[in-house]
Amino acid sequence: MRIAILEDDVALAGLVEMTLAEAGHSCEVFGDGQVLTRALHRTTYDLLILDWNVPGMTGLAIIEWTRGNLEVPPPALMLTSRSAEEDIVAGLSAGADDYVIKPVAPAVLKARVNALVRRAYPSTSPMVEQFGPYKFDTRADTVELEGQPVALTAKEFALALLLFRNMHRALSRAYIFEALWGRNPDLPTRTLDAHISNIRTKLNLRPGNGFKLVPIYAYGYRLEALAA
Amino acid sequence: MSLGHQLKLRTQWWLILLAASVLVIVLTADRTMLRLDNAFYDRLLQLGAPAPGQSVLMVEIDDESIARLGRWPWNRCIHAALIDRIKAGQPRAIAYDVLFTEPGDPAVDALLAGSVAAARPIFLPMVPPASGLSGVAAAPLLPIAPVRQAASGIGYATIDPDADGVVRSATVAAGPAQHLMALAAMAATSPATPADHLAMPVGARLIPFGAGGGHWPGVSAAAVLAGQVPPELLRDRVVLVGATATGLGSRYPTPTGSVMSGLEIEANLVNGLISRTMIRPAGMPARLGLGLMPLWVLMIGLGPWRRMPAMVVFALCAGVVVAIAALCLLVWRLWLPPGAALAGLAVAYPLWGWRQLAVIEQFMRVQLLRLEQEPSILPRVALVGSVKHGVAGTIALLHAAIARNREMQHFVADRLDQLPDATLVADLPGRIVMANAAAHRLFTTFGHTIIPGATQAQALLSAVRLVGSGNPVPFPPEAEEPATHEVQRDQAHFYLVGMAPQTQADGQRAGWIIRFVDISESKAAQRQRDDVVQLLTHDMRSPQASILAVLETAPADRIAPVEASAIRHYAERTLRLADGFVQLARAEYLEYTLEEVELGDMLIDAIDDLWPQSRAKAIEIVTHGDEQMLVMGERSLLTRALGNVIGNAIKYSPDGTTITCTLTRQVRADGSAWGLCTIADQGCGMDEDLRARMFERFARGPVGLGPKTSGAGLGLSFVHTVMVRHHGVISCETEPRRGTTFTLALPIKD
Repeated sequence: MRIAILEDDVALAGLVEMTLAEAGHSCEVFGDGQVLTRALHRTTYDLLILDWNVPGMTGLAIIEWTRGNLEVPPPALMLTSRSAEEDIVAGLSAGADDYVIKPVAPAVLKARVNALVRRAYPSTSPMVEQFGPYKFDTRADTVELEGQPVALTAKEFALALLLFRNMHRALSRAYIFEALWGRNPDLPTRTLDAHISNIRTKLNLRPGNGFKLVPIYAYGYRLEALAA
Repeated sequence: MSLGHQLKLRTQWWLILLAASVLVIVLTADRTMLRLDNAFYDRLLQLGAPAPGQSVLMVEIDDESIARLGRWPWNRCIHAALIDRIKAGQPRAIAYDVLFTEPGDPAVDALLAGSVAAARPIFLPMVPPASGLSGVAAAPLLPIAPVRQAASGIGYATIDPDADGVVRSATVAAGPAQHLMALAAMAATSPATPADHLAMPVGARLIPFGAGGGHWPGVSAAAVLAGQVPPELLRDRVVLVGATATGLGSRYPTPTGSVMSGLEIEANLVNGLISRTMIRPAGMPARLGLGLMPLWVLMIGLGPWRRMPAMVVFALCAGVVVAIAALCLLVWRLWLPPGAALAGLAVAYPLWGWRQLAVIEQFMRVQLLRLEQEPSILPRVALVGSVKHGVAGTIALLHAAIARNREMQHFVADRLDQLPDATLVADLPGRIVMANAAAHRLFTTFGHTIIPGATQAQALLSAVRLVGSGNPVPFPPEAEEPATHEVQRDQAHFYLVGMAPQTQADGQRAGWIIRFVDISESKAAQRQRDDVVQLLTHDMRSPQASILAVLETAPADRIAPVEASAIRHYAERTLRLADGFVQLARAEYLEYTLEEVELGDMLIDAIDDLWPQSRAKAIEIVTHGDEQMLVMGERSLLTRALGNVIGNAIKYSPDGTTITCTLTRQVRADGSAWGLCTIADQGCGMDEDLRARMFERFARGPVGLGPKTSGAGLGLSFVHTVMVRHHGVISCETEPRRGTTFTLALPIKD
């Protein structure tokens, strides 16, 4: 995958480039937003990794620019030192597909990038999908943990599969709602929290088992697989 | 007005309508209004056209005739000669109004009879039967037989003045007898005309005296006898002969205003009959109709559902009555006396006005008394005089009410003026109704001058812009509800503009109250705070992240592992400190968006977040209690608060120990339900000194008691702030070297 990195801090840019190169991606680093937009005119990138505050043009402005100027805007990952939840929400609402807070943990970065790439350029799903100890049979709507079947309701199964398929990716409440219940469901917001709570318990999505369900402030949820 | 008073007014309206109607009926029937009606009739007649006089000629036995032919009564030879003379002039008919009731010299009577017979059509008078003083009906007095038989017809010629002495109508006798003039008129008109039309109509018996009061043209009998009258004057006319000399014929006042001889009145009558302009008095139904209809129209027009000014309705009704009466008389020859109708109007109008006034006065009195009793924030205005005495009392009450109102106005204006915040009162189109002193000061600094009464709300509001969008404040506001906007004049001056709809007592929208609150100071403080947070989140974190990135990417042979580890440690600690600050600032200043969250979910989120730390120290975290407990909260803050407590427990516990988290529901004595989260560790505990200041900023764990840790000292401050802002309670039991138990209690949403 061709990845454009917008980061004016040389050390950080180096770390990101090194991490992604290890994962087999080819990266190009930009220190100035304007330069990046000029490059986007000429060439295509499969993914953008954008710092929030950079000279020339902010990361958010770049996202906005791609939505308005590119036929197929590439997915964008915000890389930011802003750790306050409000800032994260602002970035996600502005159109970023995911975010990573600095300092960057290489494993986290790799996982998030892969999740975005997987979603943006999906391969056909097999009938049976395996995620670590979890085996999802999409024909029979059953799930097995370590070979033991786990009883889930239809909605719980759909939610679990959605989270696993989008591992390491922030899913907004609206996205999940639409995927599970269709457009404009007249449901209390607690419904989703209750379902999340149920599958966490039933599938034991706990760090002890290698997984973690992370609520994202005012946005939604993300399923993370912990590095062993 | 209250329902009771409405009802009262309606009842009185009906009563007045009824009474006035009865009055009109009585007046119509008993002719009390005759005098007024007659005066009206007489004046109207004079407005009409003058009577045409071409068909009738009077031959008067006047003073001149007496002087020339000798004293009255004349020898019948003279009469015979006069008749012959007249006949020679070829008149249409002759009415010879001289009585020949006593037999005289038979030869002379025969002569007269001969003349009469030759002069046909000629009609002679008789004296109709009349009730004598004795009450016995006398026989009619007829002319002597030879003359009677010679004449074309015999008729009576009596004149009956009205009660006021004025002659208005022709006499209609009982029985078959005809009026002399009716006979003459009948003979004078062509035979083609049906006779019944000309016989004295019983209905239409009012004589159409022409306007002007002019006297009928006549000639002297002596002149006729002397042959001094040209025959053309007599030809084709009805000739009336009668005595008008002084002392012979009576004279009567007439509606024309002048006094006429009987002969002249008869001339008018015969003229009316021939020209068919006799006037018919209206019957009872028509007169009642004219009397009652205007009254009812007036009462409806003035009634409780009134639409027009009372005076106009009254003038209209009276005018229509007069107009109808005049039109009927002059055009349709029908006499409709308007007196009763006018009397009805004249009585009902003031009566109804008076009753209305009385009811209103009573209503006002009741209302004013009630107002007087109402509690007031102002000192009571002393009443001038007693309230007990009728109108004077009402005036005293009104006085007090007006004074109170004035006081209240002053009071309101003063209070508004003294309000510390700039306040404008605008009506719906934006006219400034009131502006207080603070508003004048504020807008003077903006370079605007408030002119009360000018439509300038929009202009004044354009002095500031909405924070963020930079748009002007919309006026009039689109929403009907009170709204608050944050606006700025420039980079240093910020205001909260509150707009509240202003309504009248009946709920009708009247305008807007606009208030400016200066928030420049708090805005400045907020910006300072934002700057600090910005500094910490970005400017301070960024270099730390870069340091960590350098350490990550640097080749191992370029930097010694021990130093690298130390640098990483300090960088991470700085990051944690910055994060702690940011989170504390969030907890303190964030506007919480509360949602329903489950306590257990948040506890698990917090524990999962800390999994790396707990695993590193092989500390087991166990949870008890699986009851659902929903609280209203800010999920990220509450989760972080729980995480901070558990994180502390991990930090200050030896490896391999257990942390127990228990969720329980507690119902307090006052019935409120609380969710309790107890976090108990087996760590080093706290001493009294630390316990007392553990929620302070930069309070660090025990130096002597436990392991050396790397906290920022902001964790529990954060927890405390979050709990307080969620109306929760945090408590702590601790024993050095035995462990600490924190209990976080939050009110449960039912």
